[in-house]
Amino acid sequence: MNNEDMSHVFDKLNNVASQNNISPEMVNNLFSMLNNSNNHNNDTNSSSDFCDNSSHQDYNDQSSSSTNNQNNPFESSGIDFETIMRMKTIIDKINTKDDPRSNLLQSLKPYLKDSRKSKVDQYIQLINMSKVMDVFPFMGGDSKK
Amino acid sequence: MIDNIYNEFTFGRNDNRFEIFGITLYFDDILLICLLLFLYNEGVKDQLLFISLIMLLLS
Repeated sequence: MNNEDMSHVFDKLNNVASQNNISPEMVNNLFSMLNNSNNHNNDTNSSSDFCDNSSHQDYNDQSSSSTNNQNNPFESSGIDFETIMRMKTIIDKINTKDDPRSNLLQSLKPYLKDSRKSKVDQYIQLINMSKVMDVFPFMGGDSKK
Repeated sequence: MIDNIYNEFTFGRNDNRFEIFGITLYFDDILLICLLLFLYNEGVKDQLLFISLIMLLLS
């Protein structure tokens, strides 16, 4: 994937991020995390091959590939744009604050005993986590037909 | 007969509870029971919500 394609992907990602109120800093942080994980993997691979006679050349090759991978975070980490969007969907579903079930349980809280108030919070988290299950295909969600 | 039924109910003058047939129900228990009945009568089919309320009642 050449630099022109990557710039096109980045532009698309920024457009989606701006439409969905995601700041560019968050996107940059995500890319930096991907680069760090990729550099860590390349470093471990390079250290294991260092004892070989041909390791020097491999090390140079991997270092050059690491620099290329810094420019291509999608390819190196195995995470494509669709996966990132799915992750964003999951995080949005967890963080939603407009769920009627959660609102109902929250409204009950002042009328319950203290022992039950803590359980209400747990059940609200449980309800939020159940929304994540809708995304996974093995549970029947997000199936592409 | 009404006296017998009345005798089964013991309204706590100091506590927010009453006892019926040996079962002590507090105010929040009654609230949850009424809410469950209301949701059932309204035809709400949210199983997770019912499970959450029942677990809250039984805890």
